[in-house]
Amino acid sequence: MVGALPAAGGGLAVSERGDLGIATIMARASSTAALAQRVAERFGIALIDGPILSGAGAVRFAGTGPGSWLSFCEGADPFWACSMAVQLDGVASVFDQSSGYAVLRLGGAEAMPMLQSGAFIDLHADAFPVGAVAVTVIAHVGAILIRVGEAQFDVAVFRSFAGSFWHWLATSAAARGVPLHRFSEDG
Amino acid sequence: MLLIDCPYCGPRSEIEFRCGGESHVQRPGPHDAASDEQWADYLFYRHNPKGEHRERWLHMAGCGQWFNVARDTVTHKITAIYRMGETIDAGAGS
Ligand SMILES: [Zn+2]
Repeated sequence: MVGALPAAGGGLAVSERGDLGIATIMARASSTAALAQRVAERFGIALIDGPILSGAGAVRFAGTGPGSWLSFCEGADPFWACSMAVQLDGVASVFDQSSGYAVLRLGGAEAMPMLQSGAFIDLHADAFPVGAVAVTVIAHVGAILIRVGEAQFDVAVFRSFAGSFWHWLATSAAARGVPLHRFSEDG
Repeated sequence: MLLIDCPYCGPRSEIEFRCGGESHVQRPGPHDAASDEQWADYLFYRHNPKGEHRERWLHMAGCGQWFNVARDTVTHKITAIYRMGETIDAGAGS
């Protein structure tokens, strides 16, 4: 998880969210309402069919397209996606993406301006508030942005592009004179 | 550069999209009954208007959905965005 920002403040803190189970959830044809009902029953989450994060606990659903979500589970075991498929049987297709995506958490006062320099969307809190989700591109790399706090973002990129994304992040940070603090899993 | 208001994602830069050409092109059929003229019209002939054009766009680097756009080919102004399978009246967006 993300360590505390250095005493100097500011800057950009980056950590990998390596403890996540990740799965793509796609509602079966005409089953979006049935899926929402199932998710409400099983997870107590009001699933929203839009570019918004649903859920506040360990399991969350980020809207990535009509009838589709990227779902996350903190501290998931290796069989989590299979159990999701069982839970949502008949109303959704579930694909394990736990090793398909790399998720970085960007925090600090420079997180928003940094991402804003790469993403062609308005990240001002009025247009992209906490809980907002965007599927977009940064430096030609497909990226899913989630605002998890006022100055905290999760960025999911396909794992094979993570090196390229990191290169953009480090280069852009250097160009902007932003100190980059990299944290390991255990802070 | 166009700013396209995706029905799911909101306004996004043109680079995230792919244009799929003119909308509402109907495939003639059944195949055996279609004349060469109908078939050529389906394959090759497009309206190419100076003014309002209906076209299909795919939000390729975003939510992945197809939708229809009414765009003025002179000003590039987008006047309407509507779902696949829907139609709108001529000039409805302007
Ligand atoms: Zn979209």
